[in-house]
Amino acid sequence: MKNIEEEIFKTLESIDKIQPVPSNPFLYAKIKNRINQRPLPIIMPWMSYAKLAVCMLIVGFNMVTISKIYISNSQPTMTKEELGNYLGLSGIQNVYEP
Amino acid sequence: MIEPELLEKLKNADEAAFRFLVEKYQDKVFNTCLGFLRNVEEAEDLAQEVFIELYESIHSFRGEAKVSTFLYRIAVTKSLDYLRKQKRQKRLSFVLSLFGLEDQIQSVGSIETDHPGVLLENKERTNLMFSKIDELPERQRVAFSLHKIDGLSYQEIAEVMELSISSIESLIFRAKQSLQKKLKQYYETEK
Repeated sequence: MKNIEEEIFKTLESIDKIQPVPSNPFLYAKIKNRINQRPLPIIMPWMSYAKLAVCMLIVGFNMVTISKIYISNSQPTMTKEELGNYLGLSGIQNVYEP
Repeated sequence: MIEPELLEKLKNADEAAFRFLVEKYQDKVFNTCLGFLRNVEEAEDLAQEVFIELYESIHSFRGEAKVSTFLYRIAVTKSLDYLRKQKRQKRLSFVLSLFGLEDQIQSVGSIETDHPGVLLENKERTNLMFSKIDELPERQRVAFSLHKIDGLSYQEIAEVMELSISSIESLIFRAKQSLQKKLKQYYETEK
C-alpha cells in the first residue's frame, strides 16, 4: 500500500518538474509573414446602406400591418342580421335552437 | 513600454509595438499551447494564431484586463478548440474505418506526448499524468494545467478563466483529488 502511495506521489510530482521550453526565435517573422499573406478583408461600402434599407423595409412592413389592424379594429362590427344579409343567408332559419 | 502606451500603439497598428509584444510574451503563449497540445509544431502554429488573433481583435480590447491575461485567454480557447477538432477528426476516422472507407485510424493526438520540457527520467510518469489530466472535466483541466504547467497563480487563473479565486481553488482541489483517485486505480490494476 505504501508503495502505491509513493508511486502516486511521484507521478503527481512529475508534472511540477516540466521545464519551460524556449519558443522559436523567428516567431515574430513567421507571424508577420502570415499576416501579410492573409487576404485583405473585402470592404463593401454599399453593404451598410443595404443593411439599412432592409431594416427600413422591415419597419415599413410592420407599420403597414399595425395600421391595417388598427383600421379594421376601429370599424364597427356587423350585427348578426347584417352579417346574414351580407352573406345572403337572411332567408335561412336556424335549425339548431338551444 | 508601459501597458496603456503599448495598447495605444497596438491600436494604431504600430509594428514596433506589436514586435515588442510578441517578443515579450511568445515564450509564455508557446508554453501554454504546448501544455495543452504537447506537440512542438502544433503549439508553435497555434502560438502564431494567438498573436494574429490579438493583432486583429485589438480594437475590441477595452483594457479591462491585462494584455497577458487577454493573451492567455486566447491561447487557452484556441488550444481547447484545436483539441476538440482533433477529437472530432479521430472519431470520424474511426467511424470511417468501421465502414472500411479508411484503411487505418489516423494517429491524431496520440497518447505519447512530445513535450520537450519533460525530463527523460520522468517521461513515463509524466505521460501517465498527462493521460489522466486529459480525462478531467474541461474547467478542472484548464485550471490545473495553468497552475501546474504554466505556473500561474490562482489570481491570474481567475482572471484568465473569468471566475472567482475560490472557484479556482475548488477546481484545482477537485482536480488533484480526481487525479489521485485515477492514479490509485491505475496502480492497483497494474499490481
